[in-house]
Amino acid sequence: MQASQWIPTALLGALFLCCLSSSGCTQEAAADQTTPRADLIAIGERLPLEELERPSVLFPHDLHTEVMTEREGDCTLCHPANPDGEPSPSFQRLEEIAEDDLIDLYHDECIGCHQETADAGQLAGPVACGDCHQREPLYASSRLPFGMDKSLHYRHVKATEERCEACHHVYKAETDELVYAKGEESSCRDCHREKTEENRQAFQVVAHQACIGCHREPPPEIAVEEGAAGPQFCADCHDLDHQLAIERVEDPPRLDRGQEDFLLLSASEADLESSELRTVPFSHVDHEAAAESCRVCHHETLDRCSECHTLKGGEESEGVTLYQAAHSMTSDHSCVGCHESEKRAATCAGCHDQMEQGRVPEAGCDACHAGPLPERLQIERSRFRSLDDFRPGPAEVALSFVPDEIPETVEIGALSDRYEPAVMPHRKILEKLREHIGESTMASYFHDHEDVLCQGCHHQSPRGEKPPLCESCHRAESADLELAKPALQGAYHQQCLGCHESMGLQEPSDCTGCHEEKREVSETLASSAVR
Amino acid sequence: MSISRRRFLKSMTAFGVAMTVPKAGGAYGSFASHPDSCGVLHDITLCIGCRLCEKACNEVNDLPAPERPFDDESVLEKRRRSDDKSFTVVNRYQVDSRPGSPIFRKLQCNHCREPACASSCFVAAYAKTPEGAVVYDPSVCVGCRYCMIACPFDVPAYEYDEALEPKIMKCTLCHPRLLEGKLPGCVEACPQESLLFGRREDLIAVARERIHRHPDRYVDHIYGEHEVGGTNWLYISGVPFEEVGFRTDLGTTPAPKLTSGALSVVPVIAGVWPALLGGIYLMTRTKEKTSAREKATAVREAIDATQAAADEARKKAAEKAKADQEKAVQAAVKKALDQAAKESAKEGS
Amino acid sequence: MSEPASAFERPLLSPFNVVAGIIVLVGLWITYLRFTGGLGAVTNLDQNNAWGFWIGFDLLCGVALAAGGYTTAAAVEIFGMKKFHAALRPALLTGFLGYSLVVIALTYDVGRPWRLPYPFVLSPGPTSVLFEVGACVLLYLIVLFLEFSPMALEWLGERRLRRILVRLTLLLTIFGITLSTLHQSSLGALFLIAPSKLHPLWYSSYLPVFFFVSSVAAGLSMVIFEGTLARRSFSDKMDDEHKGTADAVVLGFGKAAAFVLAAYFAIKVFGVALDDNWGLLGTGYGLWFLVEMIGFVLLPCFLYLVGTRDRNVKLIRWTAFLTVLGIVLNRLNICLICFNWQLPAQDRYVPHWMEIGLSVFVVTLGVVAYRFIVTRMPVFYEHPDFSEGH
Repeated sequence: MQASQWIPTALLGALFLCCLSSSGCTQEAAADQTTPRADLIAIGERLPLEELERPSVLFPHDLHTEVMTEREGDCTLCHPANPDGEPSPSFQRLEEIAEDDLIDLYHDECIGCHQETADAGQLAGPVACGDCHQREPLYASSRLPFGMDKSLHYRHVKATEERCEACHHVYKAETDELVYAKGEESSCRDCHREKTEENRQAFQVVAHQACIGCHREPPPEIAVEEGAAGPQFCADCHDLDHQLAIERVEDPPRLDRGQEDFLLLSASEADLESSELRTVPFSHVDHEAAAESCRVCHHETLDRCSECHTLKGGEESEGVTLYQAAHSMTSDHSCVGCHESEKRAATCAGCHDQMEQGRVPEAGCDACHAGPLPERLQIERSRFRSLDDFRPGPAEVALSFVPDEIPETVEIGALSDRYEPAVMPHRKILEKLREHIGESTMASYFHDHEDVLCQGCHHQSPRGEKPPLCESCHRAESADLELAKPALQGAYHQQCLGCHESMGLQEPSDCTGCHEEKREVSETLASSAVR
Repeated sequence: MSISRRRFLKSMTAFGVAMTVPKAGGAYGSFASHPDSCGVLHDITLCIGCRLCEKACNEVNDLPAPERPFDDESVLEKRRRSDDKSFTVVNRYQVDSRPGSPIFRKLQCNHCREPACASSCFVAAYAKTPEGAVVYDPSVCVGCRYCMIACPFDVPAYEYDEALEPKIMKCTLCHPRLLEGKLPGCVEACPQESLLFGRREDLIAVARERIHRHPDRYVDHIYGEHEVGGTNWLYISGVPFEEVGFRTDLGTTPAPKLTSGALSVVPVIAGVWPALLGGIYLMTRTKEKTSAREKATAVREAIDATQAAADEARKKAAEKAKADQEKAVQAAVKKALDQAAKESAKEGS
Repeated sequence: MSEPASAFERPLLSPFNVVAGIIVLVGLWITYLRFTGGLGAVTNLDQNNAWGFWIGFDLLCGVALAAGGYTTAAAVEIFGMKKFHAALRPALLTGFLGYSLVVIALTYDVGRPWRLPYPFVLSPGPTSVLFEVGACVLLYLIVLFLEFSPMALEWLGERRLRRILVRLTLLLTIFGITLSTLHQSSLGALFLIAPSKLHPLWYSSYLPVFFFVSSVAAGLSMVIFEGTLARRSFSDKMDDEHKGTADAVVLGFGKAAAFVLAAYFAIKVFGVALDDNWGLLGTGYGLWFLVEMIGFVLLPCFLYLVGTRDRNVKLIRWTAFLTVLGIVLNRLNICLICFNWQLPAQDRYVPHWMEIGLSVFVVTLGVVAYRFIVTRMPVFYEHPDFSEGH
């Protein structure tokens, strides 16, 4: 080949490679256009397939339900009915089939239906492989988990006119049937787990069958208003906006399952002999009011915690001992864990965020372990009927010293230089804190004396009527690195601004909200903004 | 080439000695830094974006007044970096995990323990002082800007608008003030004590303590503890560092170690190359000479052989000629005798 | 042996002189702006992009392309390949002018050029790779000057001085090759300190080796390329020996360059393997890397081999041009295009037209000087008084 032929070829080749390289730069743009949907089912990931050759299909269920409704069909269009008349939870089959047949089933049914619709001249779904098995999916799942809480449960109680048997059953092994047992109602999840186990189906399957089945076709004894008995689309329950729109019942009546109002918590009978810790007075009624549902604490069964969580742990509790169950700082089910997360609420966080986290709570062990010793439990149990027997209730929280001694305002001027001294509305702050505490049973129990409140700001100092000034310990000149103690200016700002930020206060919004500028200084500042 | 072997060896030795470059390698990572080396701990969760630190830095260092005043919040809308008129800036970040509440953070020279700028400067204009500050000396700076290439944090800024006396501008940790026992300007000005000055070890202890006491509030990492061999300006944050403008891919290798390997090869090349090249030259020359000699010998032998062959041929030709001549003489004699005998026989009858 | 043409035979207002004159005037104006308004007045450099076109092209490419001096000297003096002798002086001249232009360009780019001697006389910073680059370039410029000076001395008729310098040839050659190896590789080592700023496909701990090997290929190719240009303009200056061996030089250097490029390609592949960067080849920058490697390293290597086999001098000349472009591309990639690659597009650097204008000015100065020298001094021919029958 002559040079005159080589050179153009080479240059063309280079040009081609340049074009390829530039195409690599543009591919990233397309992937950002995803639409959030709450009804997406990733089909490939639910099937028992060896491995996926193509990306999983994100199936928009509600879209297809709408189409089904338009065609005046019902669920059996895709979910064939079993001998009991219930639609199968699986697509176009009542039993599991072999992998290859499974893939063919999906392809034939889905593409077949789309093709028919298209042939009929209507808007149809995709038929090409890549349009379903999308590499850059058009949809992103915004599905949130959903569950029953007290409010929603009460609405169902009303709707069924307290016919618990409409939903609750137990399984009788002897007769291999589901019967209703009064007094043994509990959460579905106590038996129905994540995965199907033998004849006990997975929670997800039974929840959809039971809930949507009833919403679709309520049993004749239940009166239904105009329209559907309940939501049937995925988004109605799993989409955030829909969840927020669900009508709430504030303070529903207490569920009666024969539970105690007040208990003295201890280890189980078998363990009591080796336990020497004082029992914990526990107001079950107050905790019911605070929890969204029973499952917050009774996360597996409605039994007592100590039934599974023994002193040494065990197989039933997956090794979690009673101590851990009650004291884990991070769990939502444990006593201390829940209390810790309550302290993070805006009304509490102002003081509690500043305090060291993850340590023994300030109240100390005996704040909870205040009941009689286990060996005396039998004798003393009848003496204690409520929490009030241990601590003052909300109505009796009072200032232990005369209110007038708390100053109306406090002038903080130790560092006054660029600004006038700050005038702090001391009494107003304290009264606000008392108000917040009064609103919470738990807070009232733990803030039993008023001077506990003072410790929020007057920390690391003795409790009493006249706590020391900040500047007594926080030096103005420099921080103390060994004790990790800020200097005075930092102490003031971190304490005050930290509290305001944790409580989500909008005011004050700038420096002059707390302390005004000295006039001659403001002129200097203005002149420093030179054009 | 008429250089004698002795002269050659002498000049090579002198050359080799002259090429000894001062030792540029060394054991990096084993220098524990000056014991009282100080730094600053910046607690990002405390920063409220008031920019009083920027104002103080501007005043302390006699920098020109900015276009917009320090209390103008609109400045925070744009992400800024240090430039030739400001040693430090505060930036604002909106972070997905904390929608609605912006996070502020101060940017300036990090005063690395083994600074890339000092390693890369070919006029030694930078120095890491025992106080911990990395300082710059404009009286020797040539303006090559290699320090700007080297700095992993993109800190040094250059006075591109100065025609004849351009300088690098960067935070000095207020080194002159440190020598007087004062705090850096920004540290003194911060109302929230988001900036804490002290010995580096003490600051790390404080940072660990804070993270330990408030595990929910902080990400469990002190930025600057190990990055690029450790810096004297340390940061703790409530959100992942890459979300507030930190580069988290810088590794822990100090900058000087990146080039010390290449520099350590210099003396080897300076020593080996002359010997290698000289050797190749000698081998080439020897080969040339040998081949020249062999060629000459071959030519001479060829000439001799030709000569000898020619002599041989001539001798043979001469002998042959002589033999032919004798034969011819004998033949003539015989013919004459025969003629005489025939004539005498004819006369006798 | 042809006589040098008299300087008066070339017209003053030739097209070349006019164009060069305009470029020089623009260059002088840019010079004025640079030294009255600072770098900001004539460049697009900013706080994130401190090194621009002047460093990328004038310094890095200039030094790489002036490598013909030491490669030719190595071939002729050390490896004894006398048949390339005619290429030696032009190569040394180009090297000398090239490095002089690098220093001239540096006086523009550096903030205080009068302080350039400071690292060597006042305040050395030997931990810096730049210190080593500076020292070696300085020494090498002196070496090149000494290697060039016999040409000037012959022109001036200075016999004795010339004889002394010619005696030093071997020493200077060895010194020059050593210094060249050092500073060619150190220009690559400059970027070792910034792994977070150079794209991983171009960053490697082998950068110094890459720069050195590619400089050999650059030097060989530049000698061929300049020979091509010189033939066009100055063939009347060339003597028979020069013209007769021209093709041998092209073929010989082409073959050598083929092997060097092959080695360069191989070690680049090893570099990618060492850092396990194969996955990056599918990105945009990865494809650009492949363009550089395949189009400007592998392709010229192959073309050189074909040209050598077929004794196709024309193909080799074109390939030399391609290789030179490839070296320029490689240096610009490392310094400008793939440097600061992680910055958003609006923060990336694009040269100001004045930067390019000044580089053109500097190159023009070099070309003008080259013309002046080759039309007067014995570069392409042997001076009749000094032909010692090499």
